[in-house]
Amino acid sequence: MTIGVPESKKSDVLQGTLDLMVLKTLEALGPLHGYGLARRLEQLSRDVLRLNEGTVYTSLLRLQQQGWIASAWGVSENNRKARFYSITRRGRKQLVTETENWERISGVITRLLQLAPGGDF
Amino acid sequence: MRGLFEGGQADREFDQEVEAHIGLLAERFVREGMTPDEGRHAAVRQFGNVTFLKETRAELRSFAPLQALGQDLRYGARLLRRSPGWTVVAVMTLAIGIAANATIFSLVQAVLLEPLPYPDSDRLVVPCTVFKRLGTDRGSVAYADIMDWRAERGLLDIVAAYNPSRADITEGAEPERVPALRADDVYFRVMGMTPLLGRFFTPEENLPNGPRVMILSHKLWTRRFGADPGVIGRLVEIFGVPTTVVGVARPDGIWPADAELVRPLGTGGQPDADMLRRDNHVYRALARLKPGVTIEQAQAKLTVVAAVIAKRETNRAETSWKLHSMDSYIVGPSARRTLWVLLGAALLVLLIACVNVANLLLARGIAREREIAVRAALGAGRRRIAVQFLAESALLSATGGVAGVVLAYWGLRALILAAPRDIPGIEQAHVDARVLVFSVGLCLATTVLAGLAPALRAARISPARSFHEAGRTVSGTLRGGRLRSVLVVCELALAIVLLTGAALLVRSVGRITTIDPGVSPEDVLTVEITLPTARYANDPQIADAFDRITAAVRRVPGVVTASAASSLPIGGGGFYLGRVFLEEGQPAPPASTDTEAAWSVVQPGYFGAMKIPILEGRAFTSHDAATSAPVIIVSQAMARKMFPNRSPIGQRIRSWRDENLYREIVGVAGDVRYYSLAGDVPHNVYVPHTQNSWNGLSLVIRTRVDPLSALASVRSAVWSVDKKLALANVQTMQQIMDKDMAEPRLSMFLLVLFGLTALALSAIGVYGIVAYAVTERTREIGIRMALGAARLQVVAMLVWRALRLAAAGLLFGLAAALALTRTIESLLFEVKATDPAAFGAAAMLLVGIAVTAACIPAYRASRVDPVATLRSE
Repeated sequence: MTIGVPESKKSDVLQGTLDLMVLKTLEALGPLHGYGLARRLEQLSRDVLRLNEGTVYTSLLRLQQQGWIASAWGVSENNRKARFYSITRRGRKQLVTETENWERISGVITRLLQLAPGGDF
Repeated sequence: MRGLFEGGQADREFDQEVEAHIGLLAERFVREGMTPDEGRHAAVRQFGNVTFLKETRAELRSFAPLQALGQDLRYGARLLRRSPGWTVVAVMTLAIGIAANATIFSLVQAVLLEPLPYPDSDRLVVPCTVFKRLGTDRGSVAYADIMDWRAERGLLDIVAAYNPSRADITEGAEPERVPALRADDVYFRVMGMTPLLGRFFTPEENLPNGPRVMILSHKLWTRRFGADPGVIGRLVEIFGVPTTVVGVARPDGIWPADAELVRPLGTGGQPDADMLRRDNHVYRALARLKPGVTIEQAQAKLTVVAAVIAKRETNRAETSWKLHSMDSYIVGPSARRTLWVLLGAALLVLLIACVNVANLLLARGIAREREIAVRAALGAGRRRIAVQFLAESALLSATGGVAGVVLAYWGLRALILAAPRDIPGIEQAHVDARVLVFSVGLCLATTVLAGLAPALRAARISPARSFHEAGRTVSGTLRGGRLRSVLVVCELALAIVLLTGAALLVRSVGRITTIDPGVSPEDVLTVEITLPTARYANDPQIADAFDRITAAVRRVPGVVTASAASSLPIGGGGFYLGRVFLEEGQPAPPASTDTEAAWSVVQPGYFGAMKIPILEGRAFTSHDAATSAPVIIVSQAMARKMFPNRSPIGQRIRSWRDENLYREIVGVAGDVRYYSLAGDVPHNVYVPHTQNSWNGLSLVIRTRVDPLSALASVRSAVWSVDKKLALANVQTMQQIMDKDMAEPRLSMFLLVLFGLTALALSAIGVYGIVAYAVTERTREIGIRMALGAARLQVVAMLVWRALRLAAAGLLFGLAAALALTRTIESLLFEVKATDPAAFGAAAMLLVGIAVTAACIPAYRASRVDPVATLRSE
């Protein structure tokens, strides 16, 4: 039996970041399959983020579970059968909230890092 | 773990997706210059842990709500299987509760909720006379009343007159008597039915000397005429007179439904003076409300009309009219109330069962506290833990529900066999779709009722506290204990309510059985015989025929004596004279002080055969002939009413029945209950058959053998006088009395059954509490005993707790019972709803059982070996 699977809210920051990145990518670029998504993230992060590409699927699964993305089978550019993921309406709403959250937190962190020794805000 | 609701298909697709991804990645590396092998390895490396991914996926997926519920159910089922004893107790408890409800609900639905089978039956009304002095609003009506109702065109569409009667079909080998109806030509229009074959009566056929015709019921047509479509026009002998079959009614086309054939009433044409008398209440009526007119509106208008008539006519004092809707007429208020009370009692039983199962679940919840704490610590939400508990109670109640419905199916059959025949519709009761829906509803309610408290408690468990306490077994007599105690107190209180109700009915039925009916019913056979007027036209012929019949019956071996009377005790008989009995030489008293009485015509020897004592004067003899002085015998109550402080013997009285004929009182007989055991003692008067001949009498045959075994010889004795007489309503006096008691006995039996079930369930509850306290305090008990506490002290300590619970339950229960037993007040006979003996008996029984239930685990605890207990810690 399943014992105490942590709910997504309790997930660590990095995981949350990945979800945010996936949602944003899907919003910006439209439906993508897993491989395509991994490539886009790789390009966007300009190789700063070296992902375990499998974690993209963890994120996709989680987002799908929450109903923020949907998936459908289609044909890829090279005529392979592939599952395409796209953002749902609820996903867009979530993206707005998450983005606001991120901006608030990153703002705090940025200001924190700008804190000069002995100085004040 | 594999999901229930997503198959392997999804798993395979996911594998494909991952595989495709890795493949694409490998291709890319190959394009960038790696060998296929290197590319593949690099791809797998970059992709990361596939197994981990699959696990995550499975975990995420199993979190889907449906998935979780399926899991909870399977987990619950496993738990239940692991403790079969516990499960059987819980399931049976619920099964009994649900069975009781489904059974009674089937009855309620068949008798009270099923609509009548007649078209627009909600517009059918039964107008009756209200006789205030007799305390009935179901009296028969005068034809003049029917004429007044017919004049009310704005309220009533049509009003039919009819009379229940009986008919002897006298052709063929054995004459047969069937219940029948005499109805006028509009009766079938009121019913709103069309004939199945032939036609209904014409107005000419309803004339006093109209042609002899009849309509067969569907039942008689199939039973006796083999559903022959050519039956129309056939001549059938009724009471020896050839009668033409003109029609066959549809099933349910005749009411009262037991009537098997209908003959014209003969009220057509100009009503004669006798029919126009306002106090000649010999008809029954059936009417159809005009569309759009409510029964209340019609009633209000008719009440006004009745009041006007009452002012005008001197013989209308204390009577008015009442319109019954047909269904309220069919199922009288007492049967209605009985059924609702029984359904209420069954619901109480179910409530107790729920409380009991809640208690069982709680006890188990406490035992599982550690497991729950672990799950909570691992992050399971409160809702999820609560759902797990509810899933378990859902499983229990669903299983209990299935078992309950099966039990109800059998229970209902048994109940129908045991129930008195005269509850209409009871034979149609069966476990149908609506009963099943009702049972499913009960299961849902049970799930919540039984599972909610344990679920909420489990959800409240804080991981930290539980870990903290889990190591200490001598902990928390308070943990869950208080809630469980509250539940047991509830259970005991509910049981007290049921037991008190049962005790009241037991006392009441006990009272009824001690009533002296005024006759000695043992070894008395009764048989109804009607002489056909065609062959027995005048009084001397009728009297002579009955004399010959009783004489022939007296010669039958095993017969002690035989006589005949126009009505039988308890059987609801007697021609009731609600009119003045006038003493000779006295002015007529005002209407309100009339002396009314039940009038019976008897043959000599009747008082001896029934063992009715003659207290003063003499019984009738063969010298009381048609030509000798008119005589009458009165009952003791009647004598006291009319002749207080003096002897009635030799006084002369007359009644409406005899018009201006004064009869001399020659004897005073003991009081006999002619209507029912529980009813009032009516005044009775008896007149010799020779001086007032009736063509339909009941033979009363006292035997020295089993009365029913004499039937065959009695029949041939009757047929030795006339081969074409039907022997109808063959029953012993004992059977008549049993029938009269059947309804109170049945409700008593059911309430006692429910009460005992409640008692057993609450005993289990108390037992559980004490047994749990014992396990909880085993160590403490061990220490106490090691320190030298006497065994008795230990037992007393544990029983004391049970006693406190019982006392609390008793207090609340008695209060609730005081409030609730009022609802059964009308079912009681000579017992008050607050009868202290019934309350006391119920209370003592409950406390006794509770203490006994507590003693068993307590006694067991006192036998524990202190050393062993301490060591096991």
